[in-house]
Amino acid sequence: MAEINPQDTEIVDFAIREHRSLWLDAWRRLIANKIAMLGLFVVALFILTASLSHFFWKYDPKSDLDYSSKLFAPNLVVTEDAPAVHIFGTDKLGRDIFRRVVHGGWNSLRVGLVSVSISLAIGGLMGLLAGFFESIDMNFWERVTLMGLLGLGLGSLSAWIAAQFFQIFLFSGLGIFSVVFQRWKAGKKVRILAFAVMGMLLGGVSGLLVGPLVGLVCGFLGLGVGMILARPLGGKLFSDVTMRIMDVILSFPSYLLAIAIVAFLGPGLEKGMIAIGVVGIPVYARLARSAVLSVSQKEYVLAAQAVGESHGRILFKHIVPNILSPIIVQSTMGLANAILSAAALGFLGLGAIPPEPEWGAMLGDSYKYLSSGAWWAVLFPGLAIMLSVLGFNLLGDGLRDALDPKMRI
Amino acid sequence: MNKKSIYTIVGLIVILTMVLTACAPKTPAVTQVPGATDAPAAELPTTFIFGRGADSVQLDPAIVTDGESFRVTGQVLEPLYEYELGSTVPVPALAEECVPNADATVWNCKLREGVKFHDGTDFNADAVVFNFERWRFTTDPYHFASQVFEYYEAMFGGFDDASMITEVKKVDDYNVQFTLSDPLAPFLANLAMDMFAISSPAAIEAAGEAYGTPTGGVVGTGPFKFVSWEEGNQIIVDANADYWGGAPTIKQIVFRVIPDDSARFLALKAGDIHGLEQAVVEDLASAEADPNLTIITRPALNTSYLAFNYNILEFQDIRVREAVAHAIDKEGLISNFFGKYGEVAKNLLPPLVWGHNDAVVDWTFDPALSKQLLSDAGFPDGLSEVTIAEDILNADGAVVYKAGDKIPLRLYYMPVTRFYFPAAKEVGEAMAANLTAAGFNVELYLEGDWPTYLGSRRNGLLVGLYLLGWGGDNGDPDNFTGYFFSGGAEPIKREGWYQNAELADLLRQALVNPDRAAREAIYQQTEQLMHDDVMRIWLGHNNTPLIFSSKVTGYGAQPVGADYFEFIEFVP
Amino acid sequence: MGRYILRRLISVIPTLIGVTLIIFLFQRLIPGDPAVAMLGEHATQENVERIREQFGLNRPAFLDREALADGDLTGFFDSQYIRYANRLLHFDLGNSIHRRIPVVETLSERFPATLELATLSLLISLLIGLPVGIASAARRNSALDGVTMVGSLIGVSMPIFWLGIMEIMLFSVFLNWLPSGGRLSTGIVITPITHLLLLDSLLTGNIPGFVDALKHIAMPAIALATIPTAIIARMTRSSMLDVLQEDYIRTATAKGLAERVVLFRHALKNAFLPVITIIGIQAGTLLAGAVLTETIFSWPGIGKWVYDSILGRDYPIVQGVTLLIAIIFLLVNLIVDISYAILDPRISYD
Repeated sequence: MAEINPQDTEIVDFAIREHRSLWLDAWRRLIANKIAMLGLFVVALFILTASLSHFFWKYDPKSDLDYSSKLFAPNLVVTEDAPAVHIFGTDKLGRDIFRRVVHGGWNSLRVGLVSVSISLAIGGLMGLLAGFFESIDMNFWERVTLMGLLGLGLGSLSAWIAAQFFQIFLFSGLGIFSVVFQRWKAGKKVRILAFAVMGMLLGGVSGLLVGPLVGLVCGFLGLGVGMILARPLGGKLFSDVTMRIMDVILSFPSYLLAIAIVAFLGPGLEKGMIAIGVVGIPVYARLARSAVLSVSQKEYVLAAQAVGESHGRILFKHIVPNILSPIIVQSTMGLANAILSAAALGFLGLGAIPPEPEWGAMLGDSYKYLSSGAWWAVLFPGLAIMLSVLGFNLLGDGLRDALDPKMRI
Repeated sequence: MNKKSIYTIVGLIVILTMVLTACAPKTPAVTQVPGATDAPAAELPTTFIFGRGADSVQLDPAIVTDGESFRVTGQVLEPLYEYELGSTVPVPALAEECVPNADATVWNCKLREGVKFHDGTDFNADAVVFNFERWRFTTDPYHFASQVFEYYEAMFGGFDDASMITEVKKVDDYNVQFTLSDPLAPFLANLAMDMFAISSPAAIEAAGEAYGTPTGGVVGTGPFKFVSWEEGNQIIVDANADYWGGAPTIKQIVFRVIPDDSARFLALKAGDIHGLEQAVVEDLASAEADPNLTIITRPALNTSYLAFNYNILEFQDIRVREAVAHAIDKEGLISNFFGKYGEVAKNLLPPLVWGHNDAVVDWTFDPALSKQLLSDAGFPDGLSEVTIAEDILNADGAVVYKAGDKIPLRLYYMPVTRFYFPAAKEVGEAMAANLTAAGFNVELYLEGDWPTYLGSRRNGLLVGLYLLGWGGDNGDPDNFTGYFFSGGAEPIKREGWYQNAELADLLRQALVNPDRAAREAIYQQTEQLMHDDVMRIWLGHNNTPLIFSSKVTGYGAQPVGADYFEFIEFVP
Repeated sequence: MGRYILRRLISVIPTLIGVTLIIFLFQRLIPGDPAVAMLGEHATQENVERIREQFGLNRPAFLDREALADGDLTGFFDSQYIRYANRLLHFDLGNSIHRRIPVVETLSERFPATLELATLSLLISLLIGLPVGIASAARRNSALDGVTMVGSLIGVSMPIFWLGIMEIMLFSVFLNWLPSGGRLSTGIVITPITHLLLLDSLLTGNIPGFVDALKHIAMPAIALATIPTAIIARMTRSSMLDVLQEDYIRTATAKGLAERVVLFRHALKNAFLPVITIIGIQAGTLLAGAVLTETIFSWPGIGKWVYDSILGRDYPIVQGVTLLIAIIFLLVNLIVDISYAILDPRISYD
């Protein structure tokens, strides 16, 4: 089957039938898919109940306490023992679990959405740029930015040691200088030597102002930085460094990394969002990079390049629209994962601050009453987690089929 | 796929297996019971298995502070004195008696004769002197730099020249003389603490820094001998047939770690363990109903409380504090989260400790009165925001809260369950609801995990109301009130910046007064003083429940110090 | 091939350095002091200082620029990180702050527990996931296929800690069939050879020991295996479907070969590549997922241990375990890549 891309579908479609966009096509395929519709229904149900209850069914967890009805099993009719209906039962503080599950949805879905946005914004952008510059040469200004930043990064160690932060700007300047004099016709060895000496002077002389040893160490560092900056570094370097950082993040066990981040930031729903978001970055970076790599060799990108379109235009006009479908699919499934991770953090007591309802935290609290047989306090929050996650997974699965029938994990 | 690549795969698998087995140690890291290695379960002697929430930190009692370590060391090692079964009264153990001179600065201890350490060496005056010198002198070769002799320092004023014990002299083989720099009223109670149990000098010399670790083991004179320690899982001790007090009836104790409260209870019900400490309130109810289980309670020597941070302007007004006191439904909290084993507290000192003042009349639970008091104090619409009175710095000296900062009214709850707080999080949630109902719009606040919480409390950074508690070490009132407030001439950072010179003065008088009756009167006076100042809200004393299989009898639960396992009778 | 493996092994080094740097960064950033964590409510200032001094926690984390400014070059390098790196080079993970015993000692007891659990889970997921995936690809759109697809999505969506709790609820609380936690009942002794209890008990012919160990590991292994099983089944299915559309399969079927032969001889071999990647990724996930599973089932492995150590600020343990997991993760990735090269002659690495 030939590759579908906006340009040729438009032409073909005009010739044969009325205009139908790719997205509309995808939508038709999606609603034809029963499983995906089930997913959509579940997701919509959770989103609707969570947001409607958040705005229209007021709940104040702070003052919710009733010792007289603690740990009641689910009851659907009013009896003498249970004067109120609790379809999911009550917890240790006599709070209605149904109410807390419904309101907890608001928190859990929010965590999912925000953390996926964080991972997607950072990871997606990094992967996009990494893939783009790996396959397409940088232009002058991009090179200036890259080398400037590289100088900034490498110089910061020396600047920190000497406690003189103007140094990083000197090194940054050295990086830019290296791009500007790219076409300097001296031999490779001479160029490296020259930059090494310049680096050594930048680091060493300003270090000397603090102390002789500081000057020495900074001089050495500067020497190394200069030698690195002397090389004609380009997009490949950017891509390599980015992906290596992603490897490092990936090689941490994800829960441990999230726990460590929460331990650093402090507990709370917002901190949990950041932690889960950060842990998810490499997934999107890798995905975006490989998608860009496969798209960037396509004829229309090469053509746009040949015509001399700007890099920004190529990136956002030609590449981004064509890698959207895997990203959308991944984000939907990522939402499911984020909800799971948030629940895990909550379960460990690192999520929402009580008495705020949150599914994972509700599970973690009720887990203690397991041996006394209070199954309802554990069952319903867990079911809520599972069903909402399942909903997003079903939807994601259907989206994958709809957006790109050829693509499978 | 060709044959060659199959061989390669097989080869890879073999290599992988080899790598993995190489990861596992070749020699058994666990010291197994000699001879028991392959013995079928039926031939094992009467083994009593005790389930507990955490592993021991270390088995050298002099350098640890956690109850789980003492639970084990208490069976293996003995101090000169010990606490009478079920009380806090010190009675002779390795010493036959200790007699003070007139002003209680010189104590002569006659040691029990014919006692041997488990390694066969004799217990005598040399051993006592060796142990005390090891604890006292930072220059002693066995006072390792990595080890913190926390309790020696706390109980005897410090090390080297700062130590209140200025000399420990061998008079003859079975007589030792202690010389103190000042009269120390609770000297015998101190000696009876688990931390001051006597170890075999030969064992310490042999094991060096590893003494008390799983590999080094621990050697004392107690009714049980250390056998093995599988870290994070179990510690095994065997009965000491030659024990001077008579051999225990059970042959072996296994201290098994099951971290989760409900899992531990399930294990007890299933018969995997025979006894446990600490269970969820709901499980206690089902244990009461179960004829196969019995509950023993440990008399409470602990207090849980709600503290104010006095660096908050609003809390400096006694009416606001009183409003908090009337807002909290102590009865409800205790009966729901401590179960029937908790007692409502109105003193810092639990009833078990002399100095407890029963005449104190507790605050009533009266939210309407709280609102009234708040209104009188100038907050007719309730209190949602508080003001920092003076700058608060962190450990690095950076300002965290500036004077005049407005922050939301916080209620800090503990991130862990402690014996004095069986359900800290739920108590926090319920208390927040109580306070909200009385006009305090509190925000529950989780400062971080336990180390963070303790660290912030040390630096006075828990800016609001906070929950905490205390478990006594030796049953002396100074170990409670004195520990907290004797430095109260200045604001005490650690105690929420509380300042009360009068209280501090009384506490100092009580510490040096050798007359017990006079001390008791002073401590009772301090209780009334603290109550009248609404200094803190004392919440409860928890009589920690222990659950046993009904086949177990004779377990000696102790308010202080390690429990007695030696009287246990157990028919499997 | 040899050169490729060497190159990959070398490229692991900067990643590992990055891992150690990040661990140290966190140690610096996370509030709370190991000494305070250790001494609890009783901690006095002097003792806190002493422990900090003893474990070098009062040294700067990476480099001491103040010492350098004073002209002290050795002081400059005398940081916690350099000390740690130096110890690592001597294969020394240091001592636990709380227990003062070597981390390696405890690790050698606890790692086999996690390894046993993770390996068994992986085996379960392969034994179920692979056949189910193959069968549903062979009978596409059949009832079996539908059940597999929905079942695997449910599996992927399962919060394993919840599944674990429900297992305990059912099998321990209500039915009382299986123990709710631990690795072995007290009284059962298995002579340690590899420290993998199932293997050891089989090797020594200790049948009661084997049964007891199996009873203990069953619930955690099933909980931990749920997600990998689902993923492997899905992956096998879609990978098989791809291959079944290839021309050579059609040719083979047209030639009249038995379906079994086509499926297993021709299709499976080629469908296996993407599956291997997924298995590699799952191996990492299993080790990470152990944190939750071990917490729920009181399993004395490294997951629970490292979590407790973060909460107790016992940094040498956190450093040791995290590094070990990272190394395993990277090694598994390497092995996956190598097996690619072996299985698929089209991929060359030189």
